[in-house]
This record gives sequence, C-alpha cells and structure tokens, in this order.
Amino acid sequence: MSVTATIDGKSVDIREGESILEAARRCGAEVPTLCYDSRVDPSASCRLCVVKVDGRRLPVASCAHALTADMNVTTSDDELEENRKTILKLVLSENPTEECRSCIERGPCELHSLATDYGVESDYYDGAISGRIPEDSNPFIARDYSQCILCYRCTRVCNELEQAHAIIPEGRGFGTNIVAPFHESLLGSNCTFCGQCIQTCPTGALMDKKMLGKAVAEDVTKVRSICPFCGTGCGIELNVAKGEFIGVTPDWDAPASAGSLCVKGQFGIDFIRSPDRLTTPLVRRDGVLQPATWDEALTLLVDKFQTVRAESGPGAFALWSSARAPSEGNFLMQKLARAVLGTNNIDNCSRT
Amino acid sequence: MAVMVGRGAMTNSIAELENAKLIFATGTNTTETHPVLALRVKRAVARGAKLIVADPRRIELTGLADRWLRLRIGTDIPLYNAMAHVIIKEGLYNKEYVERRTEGIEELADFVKGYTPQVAEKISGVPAEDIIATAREYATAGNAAIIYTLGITEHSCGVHNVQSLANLGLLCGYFGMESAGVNPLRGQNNVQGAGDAGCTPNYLPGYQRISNREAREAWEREWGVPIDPNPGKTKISILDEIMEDKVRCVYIMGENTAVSDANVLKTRAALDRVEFLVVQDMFLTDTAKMADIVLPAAAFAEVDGTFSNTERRVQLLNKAVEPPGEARADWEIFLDIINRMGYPLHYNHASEVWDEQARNSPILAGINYDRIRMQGIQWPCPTTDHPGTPYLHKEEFFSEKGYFQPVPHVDLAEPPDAEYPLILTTGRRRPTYHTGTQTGRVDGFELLVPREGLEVHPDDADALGIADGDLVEISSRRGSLQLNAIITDKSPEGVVFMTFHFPEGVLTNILTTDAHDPVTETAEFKACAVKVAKVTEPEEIPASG
Amino acid sequence: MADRTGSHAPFLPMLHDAMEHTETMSEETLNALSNALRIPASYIHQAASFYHYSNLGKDHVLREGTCGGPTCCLPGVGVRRGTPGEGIACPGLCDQAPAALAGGVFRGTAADPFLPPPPPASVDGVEEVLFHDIRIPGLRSLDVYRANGGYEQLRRVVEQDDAEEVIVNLRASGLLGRGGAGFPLAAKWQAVRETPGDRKYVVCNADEGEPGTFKDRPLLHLNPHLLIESMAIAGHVVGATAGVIYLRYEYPEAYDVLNEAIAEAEAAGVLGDFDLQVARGLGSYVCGEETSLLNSLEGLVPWPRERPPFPTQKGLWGLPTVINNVETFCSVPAILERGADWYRHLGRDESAGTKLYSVSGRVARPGPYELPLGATARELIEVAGGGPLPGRAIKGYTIGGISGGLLAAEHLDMPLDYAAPRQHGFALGSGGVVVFDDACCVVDLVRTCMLFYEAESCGKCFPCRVGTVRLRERLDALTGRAEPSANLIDEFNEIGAAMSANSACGLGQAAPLVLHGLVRFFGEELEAHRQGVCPAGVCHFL
Ligand SMILES: Cc1cc2nc3c(=O)[nH]c(=O)nc-3n(C[C@H](O)[C@H](O)[C@H](O)COP(=O)(O)O)c2cc1C
Ligand code: SF4
Ligand code: SF4
Ligand code: SF4
Ligand code: SF4
Ligand code: FES
Repeated sequence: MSVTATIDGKSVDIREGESILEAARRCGAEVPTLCYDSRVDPSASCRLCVVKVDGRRLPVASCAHALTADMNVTTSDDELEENRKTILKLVLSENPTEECRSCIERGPCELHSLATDYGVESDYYDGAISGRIPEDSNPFIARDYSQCILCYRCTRVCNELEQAHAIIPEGRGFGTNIVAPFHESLLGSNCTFCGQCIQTCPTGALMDKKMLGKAVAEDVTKVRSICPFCGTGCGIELNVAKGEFIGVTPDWDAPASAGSLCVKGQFGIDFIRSPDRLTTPLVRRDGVLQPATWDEALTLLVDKFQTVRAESGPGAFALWSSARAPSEGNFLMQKLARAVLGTNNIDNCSRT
Repeated sequence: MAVMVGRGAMTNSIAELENAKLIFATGTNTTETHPVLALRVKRAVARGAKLIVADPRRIELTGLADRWLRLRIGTDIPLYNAMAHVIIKEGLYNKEYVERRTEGIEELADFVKGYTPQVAEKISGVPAEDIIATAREYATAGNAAIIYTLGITEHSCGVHNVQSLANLGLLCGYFGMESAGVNPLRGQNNVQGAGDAGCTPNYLPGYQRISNREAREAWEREWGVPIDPNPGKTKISILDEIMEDKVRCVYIMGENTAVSDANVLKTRAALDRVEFLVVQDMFLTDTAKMADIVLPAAAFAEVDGTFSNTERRVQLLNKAVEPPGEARADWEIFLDIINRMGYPLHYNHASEVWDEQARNSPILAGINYDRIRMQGIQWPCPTTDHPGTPYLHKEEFFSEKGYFQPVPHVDLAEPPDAEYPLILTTGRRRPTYHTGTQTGRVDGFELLVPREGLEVHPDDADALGIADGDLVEISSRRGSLQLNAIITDKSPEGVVFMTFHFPEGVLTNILTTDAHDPVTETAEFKACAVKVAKVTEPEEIPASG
Repeated sequence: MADRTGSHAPFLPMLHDAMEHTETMSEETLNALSNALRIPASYIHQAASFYHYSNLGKDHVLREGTCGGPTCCLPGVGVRRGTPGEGIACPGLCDQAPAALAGGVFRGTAADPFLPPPPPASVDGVEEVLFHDIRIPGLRSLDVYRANGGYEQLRRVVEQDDAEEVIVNLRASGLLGRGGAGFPLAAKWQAVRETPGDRKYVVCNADEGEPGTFKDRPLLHLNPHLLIESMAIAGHVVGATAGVIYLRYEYPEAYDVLNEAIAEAEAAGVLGDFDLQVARGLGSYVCGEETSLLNSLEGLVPWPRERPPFPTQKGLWGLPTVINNVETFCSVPAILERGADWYRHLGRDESAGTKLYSVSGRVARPGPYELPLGATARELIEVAGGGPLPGRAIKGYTIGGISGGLLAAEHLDMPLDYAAPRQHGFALGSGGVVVFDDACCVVDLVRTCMLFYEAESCGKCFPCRVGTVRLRERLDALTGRAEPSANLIDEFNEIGAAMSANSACGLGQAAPLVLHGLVRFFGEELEAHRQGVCPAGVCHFL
C-alpha cells in the first residue's frame, strides 16, 4: 500500500491530518496564502493556495484539503500563477491606494509582500472600495476596514481560538463587514482585547492603537521576553524603537502560548513607562521618604543590618521575595538571607 | 501534593491540555486568571473533550462545561472523597498502577467509605448522581487532566483540598500520563521560579529540603559558609514575631503585602511596628510608603533573567530597554548589599547567577541561558543534553511511591452566623492583575473594569433591600468598607464576591480572614463571614477600618 | 419562542419565529436564539444577517419590491435595473414577469401562478412524467394522490425491502441529478447507503433560486405527496429515517402545502418511521448550493463547504446525507413503476428521461415545460414557448437559468442535454432558458445577470466576492453608466479566468459564463457599446 503522494514531482510521505498546503510547504514549495492561519480551521477564502490535483476538474484549495495517498499535486504553473496574480489585483483593488500604514510601521504586511512578490501594484481594476469603518474609541485596537480584505482570519481567531465571539462577518458578499454584533465600539462588546485579531491580520486593517504612529518599521527591534503577569508565561516580543519600549507582539514560537496573548500581555506592558516609576532610592528622614543616592541608602541599610545582626542574631531578619521578580533576584535574596545574614526566614508571596 | 508524590508543581504541560479527553477544572476561574492557558481548555472542548467544572460561582468555564458541579464554598473535600468512594467501590481505579506505584489504598478505601455520594450531596449541595457520573467519567476517560487554582488552595484547608483531589489522580493512574495529571495553575508569573530559587523557609534552591544534609553541604561548599539546618519562619509567623519584637528587620521585594495579604490590617500593624523596613519595588506601593528605605527596581523588560512558568518551564528574559533613572536589576542590588555586608561576590552577568543556582540544584542543572535562548526548558533537566520534562512521574515519583492521603472534611474557618450571615469570596478579573500596581498603570485598562463592585445575588439583594448600583457597607469581624453593589446571580445565594485589585478605592483584604492552612500557611481568602447593608448617607471616604 | 430544538434543523424555523415579533431583531432575541440553539450568538448573528429577508443587522424586513432579475429587467417585460441592491432577487415567477413582492407575497401577472401550461403536443415524443398528474384538481390531498396511484411505489419498496434492487433500477434508468450538476442519482444513493452510520438524512433541495428557473414550483405547490413519497423511498433505500425539505423563502404557499401534506401522510401512517420536516429559507441564492444549504440548516453562515468530504459522507450535522433536487426525487416513483427502460427511452439519443425546462423572457408562451431530455433550444423556445413576440426576432438565450452560459440565435438547434453545451464550456444546469430578442441589449442583460451574482455572492472567497463587482462595474461602463477602461476585454478575460478556476463554489465559477458568451458571440454589439452606441437603443450613454 502506498503511503506517499507526489508534489511538484517530488515524493512526499503522508502525515495524518496534514493539508496539501502544509505538506507542500514542508517540502519546500512556495504556496501563497492570505487567509491561512494554522491555528484555526481554514476558511479557504483567498483562493491563492489553489493547486492542481490530477483527476480534479478544477484546482483545489490546498489549505482545506488533506493530502492523500497517490495524489499528484502541482503547486505552480503559468495558469495557476496568472490566476493568483489576478486575485491579488482584485483584492488590492478593493482597498484605498494610499500607502499601507502597516507596511510603514510594522514592516511589509502579508498582502503587500505578496503583491511585491507577484509584481502587482494597486492600480488595477479600479472600482468600489469595500469596508465600513466603525466609530470605535477603544484605546487598544485601530480598525480601518477600508484596508480589510475579508480573509476572516480575525473572526476565526476571535471565535475559534480565543472563543471570545466578539467580532463576526455581517452581511453578504461585497457588502460583508466585520462587526462586533450590536456594538459600534469593541468596548462593551464581548471583546477581551487579547489583540489576537491584530496579530493575525494580513493587512493594515487592524493595528495596535498603542503603537500607532510611534515609529517606522526600520527603527523597530524586537526583543524576546516573557509576559510578567500570570503563570502561563506567554512569550512576547518587546518592540523597541530608539531605546523606547513601544509595544508588544507575540512570540510565535513560545511553547506555552504559541503566539496567543491576553489583554495583559498584549496591552498591559506599558506600566514600565509609567511616570510613577521609582527612579532613585528613598530613605526616611524626619519621618518622610526622601530621595537619596544608592550609596547613602545602602550604607544606611547595611549599617542597620550589621547592628541588628550583632545585637539580635539572624532570627531578627525576615526577607520576602517576589513571585513576580526574575529568579536571579530571588536567588540572590535567598543567598543574602542564608549565606550572609544566616537565616532561613525567607519566604515569597506565592500564597496570595 | 508534595507529601504524596514528592512535588507540588503542575504535573503536565500547558499544551498537553489540548489533548486531554476529560478536563476536571475545580476552583479555577481559568479564563480570567490564565486566559491563554484557558484557550487550551477551550480547544480541547472544541475537539470533543469533556469539561467538568466544580465551582460555586457561575464563570465562563461553567458555560462551556458538560457538567457544572455547583458545590458550596469550602466543601471540596467531601466532593472529591465521594468521587474516590465511587471509583473504588465500582472498581474503576487503575489496579495495576495502584498496585505497582502507590501505597495506602486500603486506608483510603476504608476512609472514604463514609463519604457516599449522598453524604457528599448533603454537605456540598452537588447532586449525588452528578458526583457519581463525574467519578465514572473521570476514571474511565483514558486520560483526564485536573486543573485547579486558588479556589482550592486559598482555604484554611488548602493542603487537604489538594490531597483529596490528588488521590483521584493517583487512583486512576493519571500521574505520569501525557495530557492528564493533577495541575495546580500558578497565579503569578514567577511563583514557580521563586520556589525553584529556594525562596521558602524550608527549601534550598531546587526544592531540596533544608533538613537534607547532602544538599545543605553542597550549598555550604558553594557559599563557603554554614547553613542553618532548621527551617525558617513563614510570613504569617513572622507577623506575630514582629509584634513580639523578635523580628526587627523586614526586607520585601516586589510585593504589595500591605494590600494583598488576608486580614491586611494585621499586616499593616506589623509593618508599622517593625523597626526597620526595606522595600524594593518599581513603584511606591502602599507597602513601600511604610518603608524606611525604598530601593528602585528595574522592570522585567529592563533586565536579563529568567521566569519559570506554571508548567516548570524556565524561560529567558532579555533586556530591551534601560531602567528609568537609577533603578537597578534586583540581582544587582542584592549583589551590592552582599558585598557591602562583607561577603565578597562577583558576577559578570545574570547568567552567572543562574548558573550558580542551577549547578547545585539537580532538577535545574542542565539548564543554562544558551539552551533557553529560543525556547524554555521544563525541569527536571539534570544534564545539558537532557531535553527537559514535559510531564512528571512518568516512570517514578520523586518520592518512593505515590502515597494516598485520607483527609477529612472540616467546616469553614469562619462560617456564616446570625451576625455575619453571608460568605465573602474573592477572586480576579482578567484585565487586572493582583493589587493593580502594574495594571492600574496601563493606559486604557481603566475602561475595561471601570469600578470595583460587590456582587450580590438578587435574592439576597431583595432581602436586604439593595438595588443595583446602591452604595453598600460590607463588614466582617475585622473591618468594613463601602462600595457599590452589582446585582448578579453569578454567585449562589448567600455568597457575595469581590476582587482585590483596587487598593486605591477599595481595600478588600480589610475583610478577609488570616485563618490559614497549618502546613502552607495560605490564608482563607476564599471565604469569610460578612454582613452587607445599604448605606443611606453616601460617604466620601470609601475605606474605613 | 416556540421550542423547536427537537427538530432536525431548528435554526431556520426559530429564526422565522423570532422575526415574527419584531421589525428589527434585538440583541435579546438573538441571545435567546443562541441559548435555545446552543450556538454562539456571534455565529447566529453572522448567519442571520446574511439573508435578504432577515431583519438582523437591518432596520426592517423587506416586504415590498419589484424583481431585479434578468428576465424581469428585459425591455418590454419589466423595469431596467439601475444600481446594485435595487429590486428583489428573482422569486421564480419569470414566466409571469414582471414579478413583485407585496405584503409578504410574491406575485407575477398570472391568475394562477402555479399551474404549468398544457404540454406542447407538437414536440416530438413528448410524454409527461413529472407533470403527468399535475393538472388533476385536488392532487394536493392524500386521497386524490392515492387515487392516482400515489404511495404505491413507497409501499412496494418497503414491502419488498430490496434496496439494492431499487438502486440497480435507478442506475439503469440513467437518471441524473436535475438540480444543476447532473450527478447520477443511483451513485449518490448508493454512496450514502454504503456509508456506515445509524443516523442519516435525506434532504431535498427546493431552493430553486436560479433566475429563469421555476420548474420545481408546480411540483412543490401542486403535487406535494409526490415529493414526500419520493423522499421516503430515498430514506428507505439509504437507511435514513429523517428528511428535511429546504424550501426557498419565495415559495411561502408551498410551505403550507408541504406541511399540510406531510401532516396528512403522517396521520395516515403512510410514511412509516420516516420523519419529514420543512425548513423555509430566508432569501439567498447560494443556499441552493448543497453545502451552503446544509450550513444554512445548521444555523451557520451559509457559505459553501470545501469538498471532500461530500455530503454523502458528512452532510447534515456531519452525518451521511442524500441531497437531491425536487425534480430528481420526483422522477423516482415513475421509474420504479414503469421501469428503467421505459424511462431511459423517453430521452433523445443518449439522454435518459424527461426534463423540466423553464422558458421565459421574450417569448409568446413562457412557462415550465416537460420535454424529452435533449430537446433542442428551438423546440423549447419556438414550439413550447410559442416563439418570438410578434414582429420580433430572437437574438439569443441563456441556459442553466443564467448560470449555464449565453448563446446566440445561431445556436438554437443545440440540444438542451448535458453534453452539447459543454462544447462551448457551458452547462445545461437547471434547464432554465431566458430568451432575448432584437429589442433587447445583450450587454445590458449580461450586466443584470452580473448584478444578480454580485448580490448573491456569499463573500466567502476573494475571486467571486470582488470579481462579480468588478465585472459588473465594467458592464456599467459599457452600458453608459461610467467611463469604460481601455483594456476592458483583457480585464474580462483575466477576471473571468480567475473566477472560473479559483472560486470556491459554482456561483463564482459560473458567473463569468454569460460574459464569455457575450464576448464570443456578440462581439459586434460589445464593440458598438465600447464606442458608445447601443444597437438596440436600450443603453443611454452619458
Ligand atoms: C450557486 C448554486 C446554486 C444552486 N441552486 C440550486 C437550487 O436552487 N436547486 C437545486 O436543486 N440545486 C441547486 N444547485 C445544485 C446543488 O448544489 C446540487 O448539485 C443539487 O442540489 C444536487 O441535486 P441533484 O443531484 O438532484 O441535482 C446549486 C448550485 C450552485 C453552485
Ligand atoms: S481583541 Fe481578541 S476578543 Fe477582541 S476582537 Fe480581537 S480577537 Fe476578538
Ligand atoms: S480585518 Fe484583517 S484579518 Fe480581519 S478580515 Fe479584514 S483583513 Fe482579514
Ligand atoms: S499574556 Fe495573559 S495569559 Fe499570557 S502570561 Fe501574560 S497574563 Fe498570562
Ligand atoms: S464563489 Fe461566490 S458564492 Fe461561491 S463561495 Fe465564493 S464568494 Fe461565495
Ligand atoms: S490559504 Fe487556502 S484559500 Fe486562502
């Protein structure tokens, strides 16, 4: 019994549950997609991933079909490429022609990268532009559906992955709009502001409002880190421009989260830029906390510690570490307690 | 759980939850506390997994559940014991596994005889047939995962709750099985890491008991000083020792104890009293305001370091931006103090601090910064060629065997009575985190949960003459405060609910009791007796103690 | 809200119920539906906002309007349509054009909207099978139906209990699906029969949304028991005890007719344990596509599903499902009664059986006619349909309703069978034919067709969602509504090719066919329009 198929002349092993698209990409074929997000069911909307399969009258959407034994698949030929190009021209034609803000600020979006790959500009097939822009003052997500290509990634991610059921396509055909049912603004809707819709959007239709206008793509570096809020430990990328933190994007390779984030990890990191941050040590003088130098503060601290240790021994100390601080700080606090002060009175706040 | 299988961590991985055939979620409002982890639960359900939720309150998970066991607050033990009863009586447990890997089945069987589903129904309010069905489905699922959070542990009987729950996993052989296990979900980002690092009175780094001579000696060699072989004092005992002036110096890192502790007035009294208080934090929290010295700490984004998540995965933080002003990384502050204390010490980089911790902690020994640059590793990871451990207890437990623990039901530490007829329970909401030190400073978050409120059941509200939005006064034996009522049937009759996120307006923990678990000393956040009354003359000051 | 959760497909009936009480559907109603159906409210919102006649996401239910379909917009028939969204979707009254919706009722100009005209005796070999009894008064009642041999075949099938034999017979009859795709009926039933499963469904596609198609209409309104009997036979053969008739919104009278007939049949016990229900659509052409139809029944947005899996494997609620067109089902009892050979030889040449054709537009006697499969267009148009209007010359015609393609008068002798249209890349489809003559502008007609596709495109896939609009816009320009672009023909070809090859369902794949016909057979008229001249004088240029 054969357990292989052929893709572009190469023999490929069949893997349970794998689509033609995934198999083709696995063996190096470049199949374009716009509506594909591996985490949710395919909607087979963009029709860019169509490939020819022997025995099928029409090309099939490779994202939505399993690779099965003995299939003979062609992922690219003149006709396929020509039609892909036409489809790209069509979707570009439903968006305004001004420069895409995602491309400017986040780097080339999926739509425009593909367009560049295919040598397609946006001035083909002049006609009506689709997408109603809601009046939405929410502080997190910018929604400009004139840029939307109705790939339904945001709505599938919101409904299938996040299961927030906040946004959904409303209406039919060219008149379809992405809406939060009964709500113009996402505030007050089911939206949890997980930001997942922004992250999957292949165009500039959904943008992180907090990052909007903060920097141009060339100036942004992404530094991998871990969300500092809950124990899930989602992977994040800290976006930094000119030394300033400007926002968060998910780390798609993080094992626990695989690209997902919640509102805290996605939009909650700007506390680090708060003007309330402590910037110098404070010491209590005349009953009031007043700024001091590190040397002043630590001299005071160490003097006091030495005195108390001499007078009352290690049992007079208690150190409470932080379940929020990095482990290295925790380790050294415990070393301070055990190795320097000589006490095991070290605890952490995990109990609350 | 540590006494049963040798470890108290999440047995399995977050991603594995997706493939569980049954998930028993108890005392966990996962969608609010661990939203992304909850996605795995949702996806498992979408794939056809059964979800059974035990929770007194109606939460998002109960809406997704195949069955909702709406137990009375504080009646977990009879529920789990009755499940064990059914599983044993009907012979549904994994006999081969129990035989080979556990001890104490007879005692347990004997003990739970009294916990018939009918008895449990009387105590918990969960219909006996639901208990029976749950027990059967759990035992026969093939692979079933239990997840729980503070709803289980934040009780004066927290340890017993967990043990009676873990008995179920042990009975069915779910310890050491992929996509199964018994999984405590750690609340804060680095609870696991703080524990890994030895920040507990009775454990050295890497969960080595302070009483373990070998371990102690290894650290003594590393540090060149003797280590006190007696466990230190927990936080709750320290509070008493402060009041007795035995403890004179307290050093708190990154914790808003003066807001987050149960019976917070007692904590405040102690911190007021202590001779010398050092607080190291990013913000001038209510706790920091009480300090003698406040040290400005760098945020996670401003340092290199590691967090260990709830699935025991050590993950790398990379410094992205400079700390503001003179703020410094926690480890650098300690390094400075240690040197000034006359103990010469030097590290070039945070990674060297990690390496020191790892090399004397067998479960961490194989982990270093280079290995976790792309993806974190789950301990135990004894050697640098070890891939890490996605799920624990595969071949053996940390202890010799799995030990069943028969545990009896005890009543709430502070049951409602004529004077304080309602139960207050506390919890979290997604957009806010802990005491709000951080989330309270995020632009826009104020729009998501505009104001704290006290959730009151419509029937209770009727009886008390309270309408939605009314200002009410809630009092416990320890204090009282005022806030607005939200009328909802999310909590059952007789139970009111609020969070502890908003210290500025509402200091919830004025009310809560510090009655605590004798082993972990975790306080009973989840239940205290209160009374609620409508306030006729609105006052300006919301909190009064 | 009545509890219909025991129903095989409760969504549509419950949505209809919910709409009864409100002009605009409220969030509360939606949530109540969501709770009752255990479907997330967002999905219900998506699904319900999709349909023409729902009141969700709109400010009211549409209750008035004239038809914007291709027949009704022909000159001398109805009004020339202006902009997208103007006029209602074709309600299947093209033989009585112009059709209109008033007070929730769809009506054309005929006094009796349902009765087919008498058969054209002059067409060679015509023998009615499906329409054989249709003019018998009172046929809707169980008694009359039975008096004419009704439910005999069901009884025999049940009695003999030899499903294989039935399938052998049906295979020998050569009966192909009459809904459009022409898939062999026996193969479909066989597939469902062989798919393991103790629960299966029989679904009837009575959506008849194709413009210029109204052939199922007489059967649905006048001979409900024939369909019921046929579906019960299917149930018995494939091993299904549940059936659903998906009836288009535009046939409200048939809803009552079918429900009454089912009740009568059930009361008389003729259906055995076969449980049949009717679900009424809410206005959407694409719901006639079989997988959209299934999604519609399940309360999901009625976008087509990707196939495989085919409905025979995973149909309604993921269970093996037979879906056939009304006409296909209704052909079965006669075949069982009179034999496969007899049936087969009713068709011309290689074609088997009879076909219900619909002819409308610029002919003297528009209407539904049953002719031998393979009768020529000329026979349908000139003989059955009575030929051109006085003093007029036929210029061309569309087939498959409008979705099969567009031909010129020179093709009148083409047999209307499954094979002949393929030579042009066209398809017989539903058997509907819309005729236009020298008073009509073919460019304007093609534009009206495109308006229809644009309005009915579900929006699932890029090529069709945008392509239909871009094509219509270009036809706007050609018909004097805007400036035409220079490389118009290239654009037609490019967009058409991408739509035909890459669209996710038959709608988008077929939408460019009328345009192909225009470009290929009416080059001169097209070129004249590019120069700003409409030879028929229909289009007015800026
Ligand atoms: C856009 C579209 C609309 C359709 N509408 C109908 C319809 O109204 N009635 C119908 O019977 N088939 C319709 N079909 C064909 C069905 O998909 C399917 O082929 C048919 O119901 C199968 O039944 P049959 O084998 O008896 O023809 C349509 C197909 C497409 C692509
Ligand atoms: S932010 Fe999350 S919940 Fe809100 S619309 Fe986007 S995906 Fe849905
Ligand atoms: S908003 Fe973005 S993700 Fe959503 S449908 Fe439009 S283009 Fe796709
Ligand atoms: S993003 Fe949300 S779920 Fe993930 S770690 Fe942060 S707080 Fe937890
Ligand atoms: S071809 Fe048109 S109708 Fe069919 S799926 Fe695509 S958009 Fe929908
Ligand atoms: S990726 Fe397959 S259709 Fe878009």
